[in-house]
Amino acid sequence: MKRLSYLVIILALTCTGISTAQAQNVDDILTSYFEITGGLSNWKNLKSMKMTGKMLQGGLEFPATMSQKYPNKFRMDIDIQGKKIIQAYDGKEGWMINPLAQITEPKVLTAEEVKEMEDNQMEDEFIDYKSKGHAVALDGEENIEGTDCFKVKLTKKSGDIEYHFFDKDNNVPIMVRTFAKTGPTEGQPVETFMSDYDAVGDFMLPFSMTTKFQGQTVMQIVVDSYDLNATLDDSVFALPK
Amino acid sequence: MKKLISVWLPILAAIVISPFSLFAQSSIKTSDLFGDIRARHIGPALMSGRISDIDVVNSKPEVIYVGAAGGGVWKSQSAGALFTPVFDEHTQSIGKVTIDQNHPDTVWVGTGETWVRNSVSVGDGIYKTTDGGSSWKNMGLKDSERISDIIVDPTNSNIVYVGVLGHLWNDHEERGVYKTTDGGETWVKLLYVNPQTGCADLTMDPEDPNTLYAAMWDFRRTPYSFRSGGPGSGLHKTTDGGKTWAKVTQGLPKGTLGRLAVEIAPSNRNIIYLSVEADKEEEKGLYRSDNAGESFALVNSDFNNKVRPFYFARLTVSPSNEKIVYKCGLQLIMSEDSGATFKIIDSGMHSDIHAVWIHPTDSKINIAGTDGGLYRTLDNGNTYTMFMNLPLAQYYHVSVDMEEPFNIYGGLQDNGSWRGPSKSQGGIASKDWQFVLGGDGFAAYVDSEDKNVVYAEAQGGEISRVNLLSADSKDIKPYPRVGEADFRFNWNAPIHKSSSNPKRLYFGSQFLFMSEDKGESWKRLSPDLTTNDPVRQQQKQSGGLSTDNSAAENNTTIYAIAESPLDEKLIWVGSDDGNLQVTTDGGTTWTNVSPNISGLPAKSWCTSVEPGHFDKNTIYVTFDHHRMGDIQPYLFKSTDLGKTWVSLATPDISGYALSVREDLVNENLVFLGTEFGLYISVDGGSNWGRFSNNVPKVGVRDMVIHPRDNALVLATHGRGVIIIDDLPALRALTPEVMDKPFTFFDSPQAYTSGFDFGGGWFGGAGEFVGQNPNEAPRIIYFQQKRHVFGKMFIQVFDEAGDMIKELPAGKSAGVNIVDMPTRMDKPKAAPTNNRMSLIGNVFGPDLPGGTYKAVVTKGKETFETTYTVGYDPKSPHSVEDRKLQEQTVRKLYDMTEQMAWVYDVSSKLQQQAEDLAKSQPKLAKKATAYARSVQAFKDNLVFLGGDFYVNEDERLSEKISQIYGTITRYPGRPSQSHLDRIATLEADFKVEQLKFAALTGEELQKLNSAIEKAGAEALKVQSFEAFKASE
Repeated sequence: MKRLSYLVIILALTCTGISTAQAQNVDDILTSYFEITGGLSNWKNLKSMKMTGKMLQGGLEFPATMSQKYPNKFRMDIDIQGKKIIQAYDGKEGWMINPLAQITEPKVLTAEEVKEMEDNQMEDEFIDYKSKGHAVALDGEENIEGTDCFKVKLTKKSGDIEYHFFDKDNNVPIMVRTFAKTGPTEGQPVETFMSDYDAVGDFMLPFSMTTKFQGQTVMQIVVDSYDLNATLDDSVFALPK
Repeated sequence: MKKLISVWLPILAAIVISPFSLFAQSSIKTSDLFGDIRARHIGPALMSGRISDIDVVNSKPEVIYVGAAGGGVWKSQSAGALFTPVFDEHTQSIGKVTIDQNHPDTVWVGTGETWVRNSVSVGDGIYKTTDGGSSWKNMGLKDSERISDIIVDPTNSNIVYVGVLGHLWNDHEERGVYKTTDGGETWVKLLYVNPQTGCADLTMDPEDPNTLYAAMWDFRRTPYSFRSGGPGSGLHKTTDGGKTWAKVTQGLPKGTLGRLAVEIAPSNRNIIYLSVEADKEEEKGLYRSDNAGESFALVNSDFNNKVRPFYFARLTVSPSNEKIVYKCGLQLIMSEDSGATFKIIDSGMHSDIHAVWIHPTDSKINIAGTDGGLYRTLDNGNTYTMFMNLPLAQYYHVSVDMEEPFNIYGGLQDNGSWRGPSKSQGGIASKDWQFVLGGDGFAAYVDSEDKNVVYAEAQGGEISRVNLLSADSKDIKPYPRVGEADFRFNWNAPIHKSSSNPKRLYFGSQFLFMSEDKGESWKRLSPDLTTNDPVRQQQKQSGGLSTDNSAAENNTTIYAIAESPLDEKLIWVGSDDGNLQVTTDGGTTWTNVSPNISGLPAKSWCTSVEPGHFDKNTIYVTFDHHRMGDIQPYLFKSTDLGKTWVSLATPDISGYALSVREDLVNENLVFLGTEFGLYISVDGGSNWGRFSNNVPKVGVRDMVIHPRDNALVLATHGRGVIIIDDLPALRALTPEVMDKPFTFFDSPQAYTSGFDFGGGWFGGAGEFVGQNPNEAPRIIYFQQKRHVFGKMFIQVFDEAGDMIKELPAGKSAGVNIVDMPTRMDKPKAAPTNNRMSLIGNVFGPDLPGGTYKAVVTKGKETFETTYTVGYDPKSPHSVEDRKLQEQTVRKLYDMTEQMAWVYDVSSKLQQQAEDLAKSQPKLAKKATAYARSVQAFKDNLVFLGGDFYVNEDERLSEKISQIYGTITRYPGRPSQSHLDRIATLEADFKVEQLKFAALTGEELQKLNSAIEKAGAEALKVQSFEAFKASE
């Protein structure tokens, strides 16, 4: 019944999108977002996740899995013609294997390379954002690819800024704008579009993600399955000894 | 659960969509329609464009910000190796860029260039970023139009002083010196003189942030004159943070002053340099105070210390040496003796210098901004290198030819006229651009009969015919005959090429001329078509305190000409003083129809005329009245030859109107260029939306639609040439389409692409390379709303009905453009540690030409379309050769997959046998023997050792993969050597396949019989089909 109830919420929100839109403040948007996508208590209980699917880049397509574990453990495996490319972070140390770049043994990443991973928290940043030291503000509205969105500015404790765009019709995020932290494009916006939200247990999760840089698609991820609260041993993320 | 959602989704969709679809046309904003249609920038950058200001992070001098006259703000984090635009969503005219050196991620940008030439743009206030340019906020002063200076108090970043030069073309009170003490939240006007006088320059005492000097300038432009200087001009000083100001006069000329530039030596607060425009020639020049502004004395009167103060009033003093001072001028000049003597820095740099930045600790290093881009010296000005990565070209006009790929012709502010291609191998680079004519460039057209002959012009009607092969240019200007008045040509005199008679050129002074003999002679087709108002013909006296007669103030001239594409006798002419003249008899009689236009201010400047392509009585016209202080867009349409008019301007349009084009195919599709970007209407001009997909808020001076390639080519005044290739998608945005939730559009013509490794070589960073058109096969569809819930994907089927690819769909509202696959999936291949083999296997073969079907699944609904991929008729490869290549690739593809299967089965058998040996000791001997023989077989097929670089080997599998890669990459006939090699490999593979058959047949059966007798589980072989289907 609970599952049915959030469908009703979607329906209600969608049909009354215009009237709710005017009365929004940022906490209303976030509350409704959590309601629609699974309920805040479920989100809080989500401690690990394994995503299996494919990655599309430059006309090529590779099987990929992404594993995350609370608080910020992360691992991505890509298979290119039998060559296993791995990038992982165990909360302290980042490492990679990339036989295509002659890195056949696990290589510890430099501090600069790890920068992007350190902040990649498993838990949605909007959950208890105040106690995490983040600031959240409604920064007006912006039209994203023809869709009017609430523009929610997330200033992380670290000082990093992200903009999350919630479709005004249903308060579901359709795009996140982050900024490259290193390299020649440092400071430039990177936009990840989410779509194909579908039910996974109690959750509604995006099954399609498209990353664009300067308006050009640079990567797409199509998710085949989510394994929520998957059993993932810490050793999965640690630098192999 | 999933099922439940799926059931609900259509209901949900129906509820959401149905109430809106009734009002679809009115509910979809025009700006929401464009979706994936995206413009591309092609530069050029080799001549760049005017730089108005530069600032650099002192503590990190590799971080450079550049403000352009019409091209926005660019940032480099690599000392100029790479520049990226960081201000595209805002007005592109920049006056001042100031970094808060105590917080270098905080940067202030004052919009509105202050080098106020005739073609200068306008700004809309002051902006601030606190994240190094990632995001900007307008902090006010929105009606200031021009900001000349911004100084952050070094002791308190919340205190900022701003010099507002203000409106150029009209009286206005938002000008003078402003101050904020709360980081820009609120502003106080500290110094104001009168509605004609603004602040041209500010400087702050390096030791006392409450002491500042402000150079106030009394100035004004009209469409036909310029005045620099007046009673409002003067130097003011405050010592209390701007509460009170005193005029500084000691030692300065007593008469009227013009534009001043003022700069305190950062290393010595007592030394102040002041550039002075005075009414007496002998009093003009550089002044210096050695007593903190108590008094000044003239120290130098060199040409560049006096020339064109309105354009060159900037001084820069070395931060580390009070004696080193640079003055911007026609050339850059530099003094090392406190201004007593200057040397001209002539190092191959473009003339007309507007900004100089000097390294804080090493005065030998500086960066200079000119009319032609940005330069840096590391050797005290002996040599300068240009940054060839700033595509800031300020185009006035653009035209195209019918070559393949088509070329683009046009002229640029102070940077001549050029020809360049719309496509080039590896992208459109500096090498691809060809110089046509010098001076300021405007209109340029290729001759209809000779692609090496181009008509181009310099300012004031200096038209030439240029032969690009011989590099000759012949003056073909018309001259007055006996008894005729002198001809008055605009700064930007119009040339028009007839579409009905390719030999016919039009050219305009106050008269309309026509030539059909390549400009050798001109026939006058009209009387004076302007107001011929003598008040507007005093350009020789223009300039104020410094006469400035450069043709920039020429007025009462023809500015726009167009012959109807439907009737060669029907010609429209617009003038810069408000006339819109039409003839229907080839010039015998003319009628001025501008008085019929209700709502048009008198004497507005006619910027473009666009006769209808569907109805000869239709005309679109733009007027621009900003030169009288009115920045509203004026866009009108008449369908009765100008007798009656309707205004098409709506509140959705921002910026004065510069150009209008009606589409060649869909008469409801209209394009409008304003000072703030490109606007598109899909309903004949009733509603407009700004096209923001990679078109910044830059002035769009001219546009042309390529009749064959269906591209819209924009001449922008600050960001070079910008092209929108997907016009057919815009044409398809009809009311019927917008009324439906989902509609496919026709797919553009596409060809098999062959294999493209890209182009270009290892040039590193440093050069701008323009984008080529997307030529991939693609499907295009429109959806009313963004797809959010439920799966949406595309499946592609070949002619046999086999699915060849599943890929993500475009999800946005409006137009979605999705590239279709050009290659099959890569073959399943055996693992390898040989690089070339792996690379060979990473790519699937090119899909053959043919008709493909694309099925879009959107939740429960599916939509189907087809598209065709042809073989390029210009390609040297015959269809027969291509078919042989395709068959050969197919054979190798199958061999690769067979090899992968053989290897996989062998590996698994070996593993099973080894496991068996461990679990069944009685069978260990037989199982181990079998495992060893399988291992020996399989290790002979594939190479897995080495370093994946220079220590590597190859076996049969690698040999097959390599020849597969070789044949795949060339779309034509494989050579005989290739075919022979393949035959050899096939024979070798047959031998191996026989061994494999034995291993998996008789030998395996023997082992399995023994296993069965022992009651254990037999070894299994996966079928090829099952292997292929597995992940």
